[in-house]
Amino acid sequence: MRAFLSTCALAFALMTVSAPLAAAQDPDPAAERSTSFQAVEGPQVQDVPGGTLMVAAYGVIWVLLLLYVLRLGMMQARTAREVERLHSSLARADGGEASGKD
Amino acid sequence: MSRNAPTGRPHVLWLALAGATSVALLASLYVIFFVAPVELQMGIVQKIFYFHVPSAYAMYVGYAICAVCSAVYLIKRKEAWDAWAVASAEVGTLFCMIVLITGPLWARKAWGVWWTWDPRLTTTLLAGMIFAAYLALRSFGGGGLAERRFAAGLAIVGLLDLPIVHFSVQRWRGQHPTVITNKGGGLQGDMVTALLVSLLAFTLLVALLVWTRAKIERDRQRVAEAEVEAAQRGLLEDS
Repeated sequence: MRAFLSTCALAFALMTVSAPLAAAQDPDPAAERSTSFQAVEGPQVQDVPGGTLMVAAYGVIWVLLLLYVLRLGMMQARTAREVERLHSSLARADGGEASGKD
Repeated sequence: MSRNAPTGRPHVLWLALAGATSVALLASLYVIFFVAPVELQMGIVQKIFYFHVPSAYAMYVGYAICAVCSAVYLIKRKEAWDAWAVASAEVGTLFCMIVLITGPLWARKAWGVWWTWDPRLTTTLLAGMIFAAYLALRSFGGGGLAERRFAAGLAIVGLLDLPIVHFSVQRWRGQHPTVITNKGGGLQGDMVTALLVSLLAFTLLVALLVWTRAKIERDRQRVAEAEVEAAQRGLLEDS
């Protein structure tokens, strides 16, 4: 759980730090349009690939969901191992008590 | 210990919910990609909307359940409520991460920037940070009674941010789209269908994930209680 939470905390920290940096690097197009008009250079093509962004978004969603389900499975398995260990410890203790009575 | 022992068999209702969630998710993908039309101005990138909005809704649900269960835990002091609070905070944060990642991917195309300090974006980030702090506290705080109570209070504070997230667009007029309003009309018919199917799928998904995580947390609590009890009786000295 610590590793997951550390990853979450790191992801949020990165978002918090990188968002203003990204905003500083990419000037606001609306603000730019209000202060200058610039000519197109080269062929006029769409520079932001919508399909790639959409695939990336759905990919991220499924990867995060699958990783979380995997994490739940690992936690469940760890808990089952703990129960098993506890059972065997108690069984040994019971056996020791029984042999002590004999 | 046998009274509280965790059971390995999945519950019938859990299996039914898992099946329904899988079917609903597949149906939502079908409706999104084969029924809903491509949006006129933004193009195919608009299809992010059909999972982005339900993720935000799932985040609200997770965080609201966390705050309510935390409040009940503070009143009743029963571990089961604490388990539900931890589970829903974790699931809510998962969906918050999805919202904060898919949103910029859409914004890059629609706004030309990855991120802007729009009221809704900022308040959503704040909500995520509050509940990330909750989870960090629960994970690194030692798990004592005081830490649990403090974390429960933090979750209730986090709940106060949720209405601000929701109404920020209307109050502060940011850049974030407001196609879903009480007046209606912002979405074409098939787009509404796609959104509703996705909302249903994510409702089932958040219920399934919270239930599963809460059960695991409850099992862990019971194992910890049993270990303490056994250690106090001197039964675990050799382990």
